Amino acid sequence: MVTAVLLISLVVFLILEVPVGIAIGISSVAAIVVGDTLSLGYFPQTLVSSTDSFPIMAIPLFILAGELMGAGGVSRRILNVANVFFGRMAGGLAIVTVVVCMFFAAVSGSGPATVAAVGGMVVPTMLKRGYSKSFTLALVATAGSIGVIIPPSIPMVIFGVTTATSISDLFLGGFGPGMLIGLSLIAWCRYYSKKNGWSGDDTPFSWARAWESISEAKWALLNPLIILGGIYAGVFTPTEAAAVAAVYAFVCGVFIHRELTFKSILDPIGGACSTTGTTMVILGCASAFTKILTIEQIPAMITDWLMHVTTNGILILLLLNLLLLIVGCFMDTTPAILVLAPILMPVALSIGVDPVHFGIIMVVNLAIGFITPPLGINLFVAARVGAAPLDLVTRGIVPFIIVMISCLMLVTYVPQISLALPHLVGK
Amino acid sequence: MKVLKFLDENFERYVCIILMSSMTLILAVQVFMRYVMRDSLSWSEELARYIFVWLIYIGISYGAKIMKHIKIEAALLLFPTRTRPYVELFGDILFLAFSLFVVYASWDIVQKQIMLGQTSPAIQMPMWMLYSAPTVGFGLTAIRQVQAIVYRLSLIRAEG
Repeated sequence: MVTAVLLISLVVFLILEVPVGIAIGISSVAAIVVGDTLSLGYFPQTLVSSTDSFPIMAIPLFILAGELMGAGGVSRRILNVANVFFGRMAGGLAIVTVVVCMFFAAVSGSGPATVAAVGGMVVPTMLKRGYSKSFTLALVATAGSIGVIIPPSIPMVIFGVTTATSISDLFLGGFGPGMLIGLSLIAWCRYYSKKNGWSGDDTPFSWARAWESISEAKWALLNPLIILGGIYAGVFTPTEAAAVAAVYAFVCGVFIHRELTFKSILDPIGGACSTTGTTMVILGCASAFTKILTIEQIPAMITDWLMHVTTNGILILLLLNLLLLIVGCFMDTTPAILVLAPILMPVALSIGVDPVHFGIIMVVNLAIGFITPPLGINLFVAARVGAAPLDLVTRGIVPFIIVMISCLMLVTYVPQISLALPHLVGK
Repeated sequence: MKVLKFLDENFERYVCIILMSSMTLILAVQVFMRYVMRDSLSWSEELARYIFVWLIYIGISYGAKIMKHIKIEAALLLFPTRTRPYVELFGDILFLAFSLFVVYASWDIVQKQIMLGQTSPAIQMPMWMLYSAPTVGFGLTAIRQVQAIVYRLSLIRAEG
């Protein structure tokens, strides 16, 4: 009964255009009223207790670091470096886009932010060189989704906090899959660009030019080294790393590159604040929701039911992937992880999947959700960046989704891709 | 009047910017002190955490002011075009109702905390100051939702 109230009211409120966090909150309160295990005062208490958390503080700080990097001229410098090395190849600009997104992903933890920062620069240039608009925008949307897979990653922080899994291990686990997806996208770009005769530029490669672009970008290139090096050398926690990255991006933008003024800096900070408010409200409200699910023993019931259907691990993983892909089409990553991770984790553990591996599978699935209609947020951002109608982007996205799903299958059934690095470092 | 208009436009934005900046700086100083000066601060982490909680709840009101809260917009396609403005209006009314509920329910907690007189372990801050973040944040959000509802009504009237 309580479960029915909780889940049905959630769906109804979501359809009625109540913001996701608020909808989760209202249905939790409704379930508390109907059930009699929790008191009404429990809800406002969790609003504070679930957000008063040091690990979660990494999220607004990584958002801030990304915003400051995007506004501070960092992306353009990185783009120049990538262009010197890859610009000559067939499909050069497409490859450059993927490489820049992978780099940007190593500082920012968010997919849409990566699309906005990189897309704004590469889309006009790619169109000028004759790439088709639907390919270009679909590429930017897809490459941006790497933002949440290569560490640092906001969804991984949320997964780690919700399931008590080590965030540092999850970050390490993201490297392999991130590289795999990046390289697969590059391979596809080369093949498709060759077929369409999209050539690279004619400037021959020279070490002088490479050196010049690198030295101009050196401060920007250092940022991910500081973040990830600092975390794994044990200098600071992921949260502190995020704060250092934000301050570093600020110093670069204002004092070294001189592209940010004290006035223009208010916009990226304000943007980070509104993103923080609108995503963290979901986290605050979801804690009571998860508690009710646990009291009602929903996760255990779902595990039992699945085990009844099949005990075949390969099949169960396939079912989990299918479920996550479908959910990802409609739901944003943060609420999807908050609601589903506690439910599905016991299932994964019961068939012997490593928690870190399962976290990566979940994040890759939801990253694909960034580019699947109807609610692929990267598609919206890409359409806005290219001033194009949404269906133009959607038309180009299909081959990219196929590439991503192939990578997902590899990541799911070859655990070493995710686990090799955390095991290596753990020893 | 001018002051009121300025506050209406900017209040949450500036408060959030100040909170976000100080939270970031405190943590950066914490790293600097521990790693460079070899002297760990005892108060910085706790203070940053409490600022973070306040940032979230003022940020919710900021999100409501600029109407950026995450919704499942695709669900709107389930409704015929003419009823969509009313669905959105109804969603905003529910948001308002929830905000008022949180103000009411969390005020209870704040009062209890004032009575208990608990303080935080490191900086000795009275705990009610932490627990009043949702009360204040959702109080502001309620005001923003009233504005949003008035705005949606004016849109509906203009079209009808």
